[in-house]
Amino acid sequence: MILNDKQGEKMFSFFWIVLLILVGIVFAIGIGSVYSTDFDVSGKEANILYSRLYDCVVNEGFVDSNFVQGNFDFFEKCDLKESVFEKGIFSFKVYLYDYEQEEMKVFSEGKNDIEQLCASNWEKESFSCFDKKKIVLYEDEGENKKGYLRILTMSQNSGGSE
Amino acid sequence: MKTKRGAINEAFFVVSTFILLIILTVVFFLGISWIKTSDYFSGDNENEINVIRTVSCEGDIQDVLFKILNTEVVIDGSSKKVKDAIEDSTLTVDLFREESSEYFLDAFPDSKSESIKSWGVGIYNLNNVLQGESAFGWFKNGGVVCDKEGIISSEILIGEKKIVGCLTKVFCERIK
Repeated sequence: MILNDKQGEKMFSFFWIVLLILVGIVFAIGIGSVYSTDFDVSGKEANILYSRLYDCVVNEGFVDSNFVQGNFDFFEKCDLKESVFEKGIFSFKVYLYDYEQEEMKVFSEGKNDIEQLCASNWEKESFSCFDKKKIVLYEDEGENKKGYLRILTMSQNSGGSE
Repeated sequence: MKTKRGAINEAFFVVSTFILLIILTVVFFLGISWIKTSDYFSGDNENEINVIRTVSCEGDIQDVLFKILNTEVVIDGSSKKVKDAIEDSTLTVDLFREESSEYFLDAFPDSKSESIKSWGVGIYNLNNVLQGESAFGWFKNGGVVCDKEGIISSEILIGEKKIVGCLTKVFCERIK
């Protein structure tokens, strides 16, 4: 079928409008889905923060002697930004227990009630926690001893569209 | 020669393309400004967690190996580190198994539930010959032989010997 000029222009105009509408719809769906999706990365972040803290507190299996003596600067040693913890976006609590599970040292930054928050049913909340206890070695009066290092981390960084 | 309708269509094409471009630009800049002002990415909070540690099983194995080697054990009434006992060949197979089990099961607790342990550890010489004797036992522990395929391993040299720890790739993938 051969279309004359006028019919061709009509066809062009019609398909152009349909194309525009389709592009618009796809565009709107794309933008809408990106904005409406709640990217909850807090679980991963809590895990990453745990790893970061563990790696800087424990070296070759030993807990840093400054930590054992109670003068460990987490922000400097672990390369963390203090303001983030002041705002409560991230929080952590680090415990050192001896081999009989007696608490020896505790450090915390961020939310003071991190333990209570993480003990609650946080999976339904807007934050995530990560809690792990590992056997470590520490020096005490020149002796190598076994103990436990527990690190509890919390991230409130949902990364969503709030 | 253009018809009147053709001219209208052409104008419509130009105007609609222009509008589309404006919409694209506005959405793009809105998106950028949203990302910049969102709490996590804002300039004030840069470097919050600036290095994402790749969860590496090799790193976790190394951590366990260091703990084993630095643990103090009592041999013949005197206390010494496992690494020194390996070097002077005074470490017993029982002590090696006891210490390695404790640390590996602590670091990889999921492996407890499996019928065959997903980790392995052994003391080898530099020619990869497993140390020990059939009469007294071999310096190996776990359910995995570290020089097989499909194994993620890590080792630490101790003089003329080395301690090698390993995990199956499948287990490593699961705990990541």
